[in-house]
Amino acid sequence: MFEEINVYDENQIKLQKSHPTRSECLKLLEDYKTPEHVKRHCFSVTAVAYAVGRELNKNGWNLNLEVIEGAGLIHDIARVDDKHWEVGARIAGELGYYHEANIIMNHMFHDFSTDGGITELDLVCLGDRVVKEDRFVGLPARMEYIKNKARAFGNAENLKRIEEKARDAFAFAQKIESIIGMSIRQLMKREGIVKNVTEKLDSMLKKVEKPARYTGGELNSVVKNPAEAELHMGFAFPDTYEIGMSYMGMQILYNLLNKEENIYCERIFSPNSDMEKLLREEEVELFTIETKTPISELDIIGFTLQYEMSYTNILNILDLGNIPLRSEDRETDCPLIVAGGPCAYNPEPLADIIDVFQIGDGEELMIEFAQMYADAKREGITKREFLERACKLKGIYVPSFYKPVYNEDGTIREIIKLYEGAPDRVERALVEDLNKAEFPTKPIVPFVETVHDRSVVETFRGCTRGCRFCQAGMIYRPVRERSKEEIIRICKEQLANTGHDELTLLSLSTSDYSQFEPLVGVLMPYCKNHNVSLSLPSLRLDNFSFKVLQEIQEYRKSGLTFAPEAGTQRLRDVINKNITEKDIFDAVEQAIELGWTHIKLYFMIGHPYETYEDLDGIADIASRVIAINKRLRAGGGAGRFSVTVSASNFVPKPFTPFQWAPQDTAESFVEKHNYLSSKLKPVKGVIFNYHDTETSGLEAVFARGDRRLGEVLISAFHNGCKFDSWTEHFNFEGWKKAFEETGIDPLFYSCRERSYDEVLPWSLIDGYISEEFLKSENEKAKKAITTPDCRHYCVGCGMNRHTTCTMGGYYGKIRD
Amino acid sequence: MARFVIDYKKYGYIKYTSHLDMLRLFKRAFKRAGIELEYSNGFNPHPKMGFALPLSLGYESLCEMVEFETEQKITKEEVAERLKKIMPEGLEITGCRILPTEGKSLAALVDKASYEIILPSDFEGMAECDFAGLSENFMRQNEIIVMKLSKKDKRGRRTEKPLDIRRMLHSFEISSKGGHQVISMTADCGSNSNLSPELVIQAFLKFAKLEIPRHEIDVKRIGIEFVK
Ligand code: SF4
Repeated sequence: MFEEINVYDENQIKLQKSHPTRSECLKLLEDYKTPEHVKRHCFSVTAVAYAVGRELNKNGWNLNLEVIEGAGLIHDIARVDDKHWEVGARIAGELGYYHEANIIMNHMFHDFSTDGGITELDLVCLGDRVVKEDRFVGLPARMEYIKNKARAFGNAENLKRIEEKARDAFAFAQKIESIIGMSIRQLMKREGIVKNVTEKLDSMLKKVEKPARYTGGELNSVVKNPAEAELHMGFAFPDTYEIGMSYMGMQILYNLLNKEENIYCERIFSPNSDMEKLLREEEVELFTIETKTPISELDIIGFTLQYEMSYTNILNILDLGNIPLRSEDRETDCPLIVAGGPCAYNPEPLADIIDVFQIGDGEELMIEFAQMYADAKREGITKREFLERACKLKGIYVPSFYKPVYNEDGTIREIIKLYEGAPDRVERALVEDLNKAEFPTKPIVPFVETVHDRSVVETFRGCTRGCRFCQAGMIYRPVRERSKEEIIRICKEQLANTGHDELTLLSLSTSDYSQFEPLVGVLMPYCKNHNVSLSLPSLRLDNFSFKVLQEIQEYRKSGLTFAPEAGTQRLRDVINKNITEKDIFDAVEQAIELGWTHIKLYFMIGHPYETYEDLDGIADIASRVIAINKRLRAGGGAGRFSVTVSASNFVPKPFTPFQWAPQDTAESFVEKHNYLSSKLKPVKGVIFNYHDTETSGLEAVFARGDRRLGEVLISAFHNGCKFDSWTEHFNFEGWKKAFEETGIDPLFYSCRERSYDEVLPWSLIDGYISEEFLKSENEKAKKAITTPDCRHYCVGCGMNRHTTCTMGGYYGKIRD
Repeated sequence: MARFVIDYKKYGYIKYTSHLDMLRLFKRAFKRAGIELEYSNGFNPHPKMGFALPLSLGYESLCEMVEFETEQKITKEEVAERLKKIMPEGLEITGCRILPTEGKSLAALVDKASYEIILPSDFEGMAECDFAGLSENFMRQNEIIVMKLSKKDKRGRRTEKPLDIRRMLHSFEISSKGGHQVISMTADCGSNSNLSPELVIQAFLKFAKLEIPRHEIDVKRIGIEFVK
């Protein structure tokens, strides 16, 4: 604990005749030639300290505001000098300003305490701790900045001391907040010290591209008065507005949360580069779309984790909101940071950043969790106390309650529990009946054109096919269907409420819906009568589909899509992709006969147990499609025909049979790409494109990474990495540097084969798919043995230990 | 078949919605309002609907017009009523009129447009300006030459060309309104001769030797005149 050094004792202070006036202080600063930026800092600190002091006095305290003003204005008068506090104190003391001198003397080292009273020194120091340069940023952001400095020096003891000091400062701030009955930030807003975003927004909007991304007010967006909501939260999509608004999951939760009377949920997106630059230049905090509330003022921010390459954008959003990046730096006075979505199944790379993960279906869990938080807020319990409560909910994972312990070789030895009451394993949340999970009928319709401007209705969740590379096919099990009547009702209402002219159905494989034919039988004429085009993605190409596709003319333009995923039957058996060459060529023949002129083929490269023969297979399929076209259209019309072969790079994912498998090395990917290029180039009419290797490698690191990657992320963010999924923004050098700086080898995560008995970072999460099933699937893969779709019969993935699988063995049921 | 024109105002945040996005917005609005637009014939049928005059991004307007055709039996009051209910904030439907079915589109008949250009309440050099004198002298010039960017040529290049805007500018006055200096101007508009307020702003600032950044200036369209 730092002892206060007072240059003047109490008696002297009692004898002090006067205090420096504002103009006197300004003159002192002027005479001493204090630099402008330091002066501005002094003004801001004074404004904050003075406002808090006056508010305290209104609540019965008796602080000397003159002293606060005087000391605040000149506390850094000598900042350019060595030991500036001593120099400054001397200047004040010589003029007979003893009290001010004492404050200046101590302002650098003051320890806050909640035991005694509140002094003028306390308030000047508080002002100093919440202002960065000349801007109010709040205690958490300021403390994070100071801690980061200590972290950079790697001095653990120093860091510990600073952490203690920070804790005291937070406690002190809380004491003040409870006296004045509002947060310090609220007070600053009321006093006009924190600027309203809206003041600057108009001129900012004139300078950016597509300003309507930031204005809100779209059709069906929800406007409430945040002051009247008990819980004010933001749903954050860590990518651009156009991408986020095309994502249905956000609309589902937005709709559900806002149906709750006491909750107001707004939207947050990553600003595009031009807007980000302006926000930083104008020192405006990132704000919510609906009410332009700075995101740091929200109770909860919920991120959706759709792809690993969006993680740096999460950090950027927090940073733009002046919110500390690390969970441990956000003890009080910060929004609770929550994350869910498919990537949350391996939450570990974000464990140091996110406070709470939600695993599994969000519809029921999110509401329960939010209401629990609203209760906690009402009761005024601490963040820690709330987390202890929340971790008891099925689907809630609080990473700070666990700690991995590592072996010498870098693998995890065990994961220990830091809080006894936390569950041993976190079970995923599961919505059993999709008909009870409300699907939005009034989705928001953006003003600007987004990736998809159309009505979207989910027909079912989950997939029974069991492709061994596919995470979605595993983690969304079992298949749960929405009833045909519900789907039709939602489609009609959505179209009526949005005015969209396109409708699409959402699921992992459209034709697998058990009532597909009758459903399409209703939707097709309905859409036709209402000038709406129906779009049906990922159809299984059987006779019925062709009939449908014929009717929906649209398809002819975009081309026919096939995803064989692998080039030979052997490899398709390895990955359990249930499609044969005959399926492909029969469908292609039919398509060409019906006049299609463009075929798209999707493959993945780098599957486990892949050989070059499998690559030859890809080239072979493409050539044979071309040949079929030649044969069928011999003598005419063959000119315009083309085949696009797209190859993505295989990324092993948690909760799949390939979760133990190594990813191909970058060199191997490059070789394979080159090989395929050379094979496909001579084939006239084939366009070959493939995915970037560097991004796929990083994706593999984060997909199966552990907690140590949090530092890599933070470091990459500081190196300027963001929008990593955008080729034009991807900054590989920044990433390379981040791995170097943190001493972490990315290949340990991406290209290393795991043994079955290794403790995997996500082993705490119970995704309901049994590990035995995943192992046996991996073993079968090695021998190229397939496993049937479980609509034929249950193949024992473990799901039915937790719920009933209505589609398990469905084909048998309808036969009998 | 009937031909209608809807009058509306555009202000507030929705002024940041672009012309193309407004087209999409109206298309969807008609759908939601249950008003079936007539479609053009041809290979790529599109709804018979169009704005009288596109409004630049960021401009407010008191006098926007969109015309459309429909086979539906519906009164103009009903059209206005239905649309009023569903329009977003800042898009205020002020009326609906019936147009003769024959004749050119409104867009083809636009002749002049009037704007208010609102300068910031305070900016370096503004206090010393005699705006009344400036505006008079500005208009007294025989020619006002500005550099105008051409449309993209075949190679996608744009070139700057000098252009005399004086003959296209019919009135230009400055008055003080609500603490702001406000320019009121009327200029040629339409397919024959068209002068964008942007060029007028550019020319006047240069003339007045003011360096006000564009984002400090607001523009509002206040009237459209058609060929008689
Ligand atoms: S438990 Fe059986 S029926 Fe249920 S999803 Fe798994 S394999 Fe299919």
